[in-house]
Amino acid sequence: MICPAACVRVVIALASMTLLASACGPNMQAGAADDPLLIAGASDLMPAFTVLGESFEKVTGEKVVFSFGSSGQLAQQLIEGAPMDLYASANVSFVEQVLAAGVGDPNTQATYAFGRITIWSKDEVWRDWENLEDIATDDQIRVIAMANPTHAPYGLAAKQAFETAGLWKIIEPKLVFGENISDTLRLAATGNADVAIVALSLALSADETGDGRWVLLNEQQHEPLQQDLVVVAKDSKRAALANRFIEHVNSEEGRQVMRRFGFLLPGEEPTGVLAR
Amino acid sequence: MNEIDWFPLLLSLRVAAIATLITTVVGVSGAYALARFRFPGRGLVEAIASLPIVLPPTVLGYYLLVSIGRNSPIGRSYEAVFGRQLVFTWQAAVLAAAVASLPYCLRTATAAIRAIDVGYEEAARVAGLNGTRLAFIVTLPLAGRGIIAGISLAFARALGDFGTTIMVAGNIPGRTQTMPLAVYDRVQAFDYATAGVLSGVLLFVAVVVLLGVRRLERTAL
Amino acid sequence: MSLTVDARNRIGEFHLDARFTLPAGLTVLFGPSGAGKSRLLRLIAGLDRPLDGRIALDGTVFDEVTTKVHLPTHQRHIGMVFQQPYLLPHRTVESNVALAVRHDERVVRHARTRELLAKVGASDFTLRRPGQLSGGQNQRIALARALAGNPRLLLLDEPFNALDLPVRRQLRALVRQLVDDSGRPALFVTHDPDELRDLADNVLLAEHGVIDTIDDIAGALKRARINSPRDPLI
Repeated sequence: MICPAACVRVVIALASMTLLASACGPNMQAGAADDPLLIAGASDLMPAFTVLGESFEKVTGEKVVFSFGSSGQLAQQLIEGAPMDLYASANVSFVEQVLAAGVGDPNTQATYAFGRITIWSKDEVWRDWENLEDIATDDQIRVIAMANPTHAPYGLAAKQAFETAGLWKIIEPKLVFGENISDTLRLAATGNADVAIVALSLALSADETGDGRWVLLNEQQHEPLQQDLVVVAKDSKRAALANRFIEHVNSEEGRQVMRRFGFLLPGEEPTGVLAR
Repeated sequence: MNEIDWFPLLLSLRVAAIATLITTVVGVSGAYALARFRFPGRGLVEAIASLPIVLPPTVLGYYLLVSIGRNSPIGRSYEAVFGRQLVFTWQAAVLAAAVASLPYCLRTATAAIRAIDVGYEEAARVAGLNGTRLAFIVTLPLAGRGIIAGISLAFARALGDFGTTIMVAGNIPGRTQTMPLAVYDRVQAFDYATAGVLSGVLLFVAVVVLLGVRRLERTAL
Repeated sequence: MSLTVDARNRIGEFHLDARFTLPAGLTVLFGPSGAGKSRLLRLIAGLDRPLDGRIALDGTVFDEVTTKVHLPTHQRHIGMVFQQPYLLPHRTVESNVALAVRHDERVVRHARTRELLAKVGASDFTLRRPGQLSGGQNQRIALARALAGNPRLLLLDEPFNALDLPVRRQLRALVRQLVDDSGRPALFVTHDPDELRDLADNVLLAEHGVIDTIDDIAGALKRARINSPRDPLI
């Protein structure tokens, strides 16, 4: 039972608020040449690329903005037309899928790192596990988190590792999938899962804040996590900027950052910590 | 905690406001048609219009993506007319929010109109009213409370949309990253402090708007 | 100047069969509850459609099933008062009546509204809302609204059913006066014999869905006593 006059006033108020909101507010011009560089990166790159992004901005004065997620989902979005400039995947096949759909410059496809996976859990839950067999046989572990194998390369690698060790059927009932490895780590970090199979880079990043214990998994147990990237920008200026970022990643400083977060760089041998 | 970026808040307010305007127009006229007219397939229309509530948001987002994506007729026409794609823009976020929130307005408004004692409309018809005059002078004001409730529900839903938005608009900081997406983003980055602040702001805005609507309801009598 | 009805309708198991020509003046449609009186009024008003037959007023065809003619309610230029006032609660009394006045100029509409409200004794309430008034006051305004469009026919469906006896008597007198002033035929539905006695110039009888006998008051009362000896009101 609303008085019609008040009704009209409400409509006018709503409409003017809407117009006001549309008129002012943030500048929404899409695709302007001076927009920040948009990088779609696999979740395992978050710690490393965030650092690299900051140093890139300091060195070049160009803003960088990241969209992290599972490589498969990012690839899907790119194929559907997501306006990113650079795609850094956690494997090769998603990059090839994107290229096959006609997105991106094939000449810029390159391997930039190799990933490793770990078993991770919170300090108070940790029980000196050394490999997947230990996890599978420990009755106190009720929930195991890993990334979704269908669109997260690290999830696929985890599955392969379990399968190689003949443990997949045994642990399958205890599995819970994270949408990407950040999600996966969070499941264990919040106590909703007992252990998580995550990227080494995330485990090292968690180390920096002092959380959790982990052990590196034998890389023979899964297909190599070869991480490729490709420039997907359509605008030549933005493509050039994307290439500058790639150079930054491959620079000496960039490589140090990547190593710090546990990535193996093409042509290098594994060194450093194997467990914490 | 990093410095707070207020872009997502402004974007969310803009997206939710426009989406709610669309939802109001489509929802209220749709409700009137469903409640007052008999036509073949009416039940089917009602069922389809309720789909966004039943479907998981990502499934809804997927179907939207397929419908308006670059390879779809709608997507291609949009590109032909406006010179750029519809997906992964803030306009797509508006569409996602509008589709996701439409059933809330439609169902509430339809129920409100159906609940009116038809005697009011009959007496008005005898007195000479008909068509749109009847709708705006008699029916809609009588259903006013329910309609306003439906609109504010729709606004709240539009403000908080995540799954559908992220599918058709993507999570592009500075362009399509609405508040819910920004919260998710900060959580993904393990920056729980900022995520908490953003969530708190979103909650505060929603509460303020809903309280404001209630005040409007009461003073409008 | 009269209403001719020759129509049949069916709602579920109930069959309505009405055949009559309405005389001038105030005709009371009398009969026990469930006899089909309200349904007939709804047909005349166009709120329901007959299955068969013809309804016409002064040469304007309201319904003719054989030629598929149905004049919509809002074009029939009749006035109707229901058992409930059905005034719009979100508008003032004045506004409610003004809506029914058919004239383009606002000034004229408001003058006519004020005139009508004075006639029904509601001048004191013009700016109030229906929710602030009593049932009797609201029915006065409903009467004013029914007359606002200069109707060619006035229908009243047990309008005072829900009101107290003293109020009923007052309003009865008002209706009598208004009908006399307007010079138009009126059809007043009731099952109350007092109302029948006070108001009727003519009586139309309704019995188990059959409505066709125009009688005088005495005859009507006698028939009613014969046919429903258990009805305590008679």
